[in-house]
Amino acid sequence: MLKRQTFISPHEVPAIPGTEGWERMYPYFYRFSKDDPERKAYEESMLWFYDGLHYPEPMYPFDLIWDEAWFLALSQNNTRIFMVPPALGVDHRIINGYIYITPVPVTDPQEVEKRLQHFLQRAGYYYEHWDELYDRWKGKMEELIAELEGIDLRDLPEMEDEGVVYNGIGLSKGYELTKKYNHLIDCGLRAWQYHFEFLNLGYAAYVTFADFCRKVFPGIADSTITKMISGIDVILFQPDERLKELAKAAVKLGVAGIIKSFDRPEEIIAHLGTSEAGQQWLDQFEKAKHPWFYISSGTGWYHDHYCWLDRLEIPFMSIKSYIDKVEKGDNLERPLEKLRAERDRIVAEYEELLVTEEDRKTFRQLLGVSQTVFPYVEDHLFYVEHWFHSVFWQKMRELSRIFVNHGFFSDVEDIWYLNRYEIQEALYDLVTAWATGVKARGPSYWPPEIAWRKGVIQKFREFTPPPALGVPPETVNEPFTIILWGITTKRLESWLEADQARPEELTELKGFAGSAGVVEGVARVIRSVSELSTLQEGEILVASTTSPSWAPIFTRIKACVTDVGGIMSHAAIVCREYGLPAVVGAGYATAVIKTGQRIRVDGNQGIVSLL
Amino acid sequence: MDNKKYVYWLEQLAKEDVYTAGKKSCNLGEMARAGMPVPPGFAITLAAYEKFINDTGLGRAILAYLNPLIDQLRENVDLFEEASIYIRQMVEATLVPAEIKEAILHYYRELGNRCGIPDVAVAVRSSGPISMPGQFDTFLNVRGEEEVIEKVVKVWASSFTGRAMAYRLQRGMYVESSPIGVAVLKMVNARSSGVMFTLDPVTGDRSRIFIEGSWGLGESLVSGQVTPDKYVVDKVTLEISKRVICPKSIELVYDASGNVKSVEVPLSRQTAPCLSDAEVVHLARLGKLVEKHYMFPQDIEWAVDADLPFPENVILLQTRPETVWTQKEVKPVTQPRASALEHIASSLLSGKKLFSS
Repeated sequence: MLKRQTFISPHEVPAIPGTEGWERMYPYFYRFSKDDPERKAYEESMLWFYDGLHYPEPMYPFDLIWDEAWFLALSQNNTRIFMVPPALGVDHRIINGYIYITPVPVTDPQEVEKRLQHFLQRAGYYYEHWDELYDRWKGKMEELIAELEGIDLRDLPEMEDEGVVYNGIGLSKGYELTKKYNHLIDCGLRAWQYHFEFLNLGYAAYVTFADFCRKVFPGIADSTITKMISGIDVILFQPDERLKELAKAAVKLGVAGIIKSFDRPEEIIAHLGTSEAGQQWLDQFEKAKHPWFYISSGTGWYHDHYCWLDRLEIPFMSIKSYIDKVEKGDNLERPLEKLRAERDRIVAEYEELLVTEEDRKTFRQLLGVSQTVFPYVEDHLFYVEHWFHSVFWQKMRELSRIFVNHGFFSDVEDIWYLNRYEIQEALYDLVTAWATGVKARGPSYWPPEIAWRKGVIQKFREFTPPPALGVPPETVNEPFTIILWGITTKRLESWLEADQARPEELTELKGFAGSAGVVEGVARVIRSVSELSTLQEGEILVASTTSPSWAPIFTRIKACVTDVGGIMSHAAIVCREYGLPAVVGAGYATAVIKTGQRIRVDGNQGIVSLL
Repeated sequence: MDNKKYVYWLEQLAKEDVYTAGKKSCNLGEMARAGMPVPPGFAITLAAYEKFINDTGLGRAILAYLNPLIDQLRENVDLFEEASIYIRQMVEATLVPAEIKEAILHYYRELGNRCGIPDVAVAVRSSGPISMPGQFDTFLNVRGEEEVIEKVVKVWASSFTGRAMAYRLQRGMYVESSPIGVAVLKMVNARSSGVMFTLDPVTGDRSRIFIEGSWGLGESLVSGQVTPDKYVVDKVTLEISKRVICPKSIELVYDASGNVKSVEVPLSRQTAPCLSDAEVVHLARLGKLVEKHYMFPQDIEWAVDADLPFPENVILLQTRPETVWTQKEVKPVTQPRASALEHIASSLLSGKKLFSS
């Protein structure tokens, strides 16, 4: 086992020249601090690891909202709601624009014992009523999204409507706008409250089942464990299913030619509108949009992860490639029955291999609870990160347009360089100036500040954040830390290794065995959605991370490698589905591998070899 | 089973026929009947041996030779070695009764027809009714009718080794006759060969299939002259979860006269895997089938025949129950608990250990 080694201290991370003062872009409590001796000592005693899984890019000040949101939501569920016996929350810091987190343990054994009693009752209630509570959860999420969509953000009037007077309202549109912004933020935080309502317990169940499987079958692959509990009909496949249906409909209605002969979505739609068959197809297209086109082209965590509705060329690209397949006579159906039967066979055969009746009972208990929790673990992403976030980003752009109108920003996309507290302040500046009938301070204050911040973020981008800081603990009990970020001995080892090697000297990258199989081929490094069209049939996709909206390209690739993500990441799930080898969380893949290079992807062992 | 019959096809035999044709033949027969690819061949029965010993007067002649020596032999079993030389010469010089000879040759010709090779090369192996590994002789690369009969007699003669006779005498068994069967199998032209366990021999994990193999005949593996390639396959999903390819600098092959010789492997093949992935998966599938048939983890010998196309080229030579892990008492890995929740709480409490302290 690894000898305990420490990483660089969080207080010794070098500053990036030209970014001095970057701290003001983020909330003060996110900084590592040297002036508070107690806090400094605490910070130095913990293992802080870079959350590259969620944040492959530096944080825009506004985008930090989701980090703040889950900082609270995950932690409260461990610490205060379900009383996870040995684990408190996950603490957060930011340095040079990158987020570092650390799980906080409960160290007093008596305290653990006290928490255990509460945990058994509280978690027990959730596990027992899971399906019913999850149904209610979907209702809550859909209501919340409707509430968010209902927030009507429009510019302020020259003169208030007379209704304000005749109805005795007494409130101005300026005041209302500040309230709406607060409402928007409230919806955002609430979505994340819901996000973690089930997730901690879901992961805890999964970790327990996976541990049991590994103990009783030491050689079992992680991908096989997941195969036993994954849902077959998960929501994340739905958007792609709609596109397949649309492709089939296009061929059937005889409009495939029109769709294929134009590049821009507006042109396609305009041409389809001229015929009855085309109109019929467009009706189906409209119906498919809600909510499935809210699927993000990325993970949904960043404002520039546009959804299909924002970028119709993405679904059209997929529809076209599906049309080609339909015309070639390929069957696009996912063989649900076959997949389900295969999953059941795997489960049954594994159970049969257990020698003792005791273990068979444990296996059934843990399999049962894991299969119960898994639909949530897989499906919540669509509700929160995709559907909710996509609507949210649209609302924020509507708000930003008001700032642009008032000269605060020169571009709608400037808003992301202010954090959520600063926007509240700027908005108050804007409405008071509007109310007073004077020029606001913002138009002279924000543009130079935004220009400076753009430069800082650019410099952050050129910085490679160290994978970890501080001192690793002897054990980790926090379920997220284990499965989402995969903080294991092996992981820390490879971090320490990669930390020392120079990228150009690497001949091998280690990651997680996301999906089984071994294949050799030519790499295609994809850094953004716009590059997806360069991908050639039969290449190996190398990307920082992948998203559900990329699904169609998985039918064209041979294998997949990602920088970030564990065995539950999108790339791993989809590759298992399509039977493609995948190595996920390989750390430096997009930095080290070049397009055109021959690589070998070993999805059984989680190794990428550069040939 | 007809106790008077001298020869059977392997697939006509089942495991309960050991006193008809011996263990080796019946095991192969059992495997063949269960759909496992074993080398095609036939079994010469114990009845053939008995007829040979009795009808030719050999039994009486052996007794007549041994009787005067019996007290000496009892005192000094080493003298059996001398006696053995004489008796074996006597056996080997005895003509096989025409009835038996014709039966054997009839099957041998038919085997040649089945394989499409006249005078097909065969392995002539002993098949005793009880396990006595290495006690009796085995002859490889035997070709032609005359040679087949000669080697069958030699196998029979090997029941008169000094060791075997001493053993029988000490246990009060007949010394002058110890019926054994003979298995006559098509020679596998082994491109690669090795062993397969239907569990992980290191951890006892029953969800793994463990395969070791190297170029040429399997003996090099057994004698430890070569570090074999290793493959681990998931028994349920049939995914190859581990692949360790080792440099294999020598291989054992047959020379023209059927003797095993060790030759150097050309450099280009040394570091190449001795099995394709498809062969590995096919082998594992067969291993699963064997285990299912015998309802017990198995230790299997296999070979890949260079003369045959995939998947018929993958051939199982022998299987026996795995004994190391399957004899251990298996205890539950996790203490049973009343509910999944209690398991979850206990797993959270133990956490993941990152470092040795």
